[in-house]
Amino acid sequence: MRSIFVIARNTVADALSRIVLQIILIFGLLFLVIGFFFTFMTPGEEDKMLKDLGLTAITVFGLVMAIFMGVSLIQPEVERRTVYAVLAKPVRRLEFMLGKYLGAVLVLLLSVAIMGVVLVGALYLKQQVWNPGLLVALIGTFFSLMIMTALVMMISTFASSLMAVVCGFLFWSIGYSQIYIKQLAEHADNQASKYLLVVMNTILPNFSTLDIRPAVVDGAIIPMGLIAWMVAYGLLYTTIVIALAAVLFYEREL
Amino acid sequence: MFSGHRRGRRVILPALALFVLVYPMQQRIVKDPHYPSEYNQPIVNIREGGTVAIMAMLGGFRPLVANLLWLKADQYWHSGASGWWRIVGILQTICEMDPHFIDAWSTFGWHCAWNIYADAPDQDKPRWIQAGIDVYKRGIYFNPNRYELWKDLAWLYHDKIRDYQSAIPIWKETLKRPDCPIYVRHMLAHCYENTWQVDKAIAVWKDCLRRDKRDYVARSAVDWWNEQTASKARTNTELLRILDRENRIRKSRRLPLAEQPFSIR
Repeated sequence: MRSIFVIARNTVADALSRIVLQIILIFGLLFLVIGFFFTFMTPGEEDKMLKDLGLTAITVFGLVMAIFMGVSLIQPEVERRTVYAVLAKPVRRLEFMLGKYLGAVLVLLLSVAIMGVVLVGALYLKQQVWNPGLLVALIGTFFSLMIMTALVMMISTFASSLMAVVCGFLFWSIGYSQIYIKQLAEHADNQASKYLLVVMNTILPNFSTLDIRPAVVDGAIIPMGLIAWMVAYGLLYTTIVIALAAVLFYEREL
Repeated sequence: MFSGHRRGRRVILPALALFVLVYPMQQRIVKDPHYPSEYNQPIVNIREGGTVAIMAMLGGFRPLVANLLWLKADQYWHSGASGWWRIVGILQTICEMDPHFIDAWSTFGWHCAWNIYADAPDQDKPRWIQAGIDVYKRGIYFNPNRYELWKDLAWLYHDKIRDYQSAIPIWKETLKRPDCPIYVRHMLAHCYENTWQVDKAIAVWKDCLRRDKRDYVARSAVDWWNEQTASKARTNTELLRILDRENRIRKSRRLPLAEQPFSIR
């Protein structure tokens, strides 16, 4: 257990020192601030626009960070052969992987939290109204990003970094199109394609289920019980993906 | 934990089975009575493959694209009538990208039924009014609990088409929605007046007064009706003449609607 935390701490320190991640975070924050300048030309619903732009910016930059970190957790360690030095110590592959993932999730949490607080603070400066409810919308976003990081990390255990990035964006698109995949499965003429679509709908993550941003922007109040279910869904899905990733990592010849 | 390849392979199938177990959990969330399901429904027809593909590519970033297009629409808006025609396509795309963008639906419907209607050739005018109705109805489909689009639809029937009889049930629906402004009840009363349902009109005005004693519009309406109906000797014809003279009642004109509106999905 201790080794997991040590690896996680190193991963956090490593990620925070990376210029690419810093740039992504700075761009995210800049985008949030810039959003407040070009709303003067919108007729009405300025409030909705500010919240929409802010939450979407956090999701966009969070997604880029999730994919970037997911790819850089295992593969570069193997390529640079630093993984051998770690695994030569009494550290199991699962612990190595869990430590890496935990570190990445902590960085993600920190980034989303910073951007979220900046958004709420900027909205307060603009409208003199606190909108802490917006942070609730970010819970769903954060768990989606957690799943994404796990999926990309899993793919990077057996495929190239480029492949993992492409698959990451593909998973994101599919995760937001599950409602259409379900409809397509219902209307498919071909049995084989119907089964394939049903399997996709069942196995692949459904990010739109976790996306409560539009509802929160419109002022809907999401009860804590429902958020607890979302958190449970995100955690369970992530656990399964990490278990699969661990299996694939054990299978890999090092 | 997993010592060998064979053992590892044996774990993959249970892991895949676990994904299947997660599915009921996801369904549990979606079917929760508190889940905002109106925000998680298909917004385009799956037969429109290209549009579905675009929606899929945009992932969860559709509201961002919609907001950026809204800025573009604003730019065309201020470029005068030449931009009016261009704005239609942009507004339609915005509504598809973010069907909960109330202001976009509202502007889109108003633009069709008022602005373009005024600019269109005579033979096309009925189709643009029908297009406006379709836009509002589609917006209501995605946002059934928001009063704004119900109000816009009712106003279209009330003010533009002047089909007061059709406007009455829509004003009533508007009143059922939360945060509905006070003037909506006034509009319902006017509708009753215009359809010569004086008793109902007076009842609505009195209801307005009961809700807000400082509602001077309702107060003056109630006083006016009391004055007009005080004299029992007055015939309906006389009353109608007075109403017409004082411009209290607007006659229905019922602008013709098109059988084939423009296609607003």
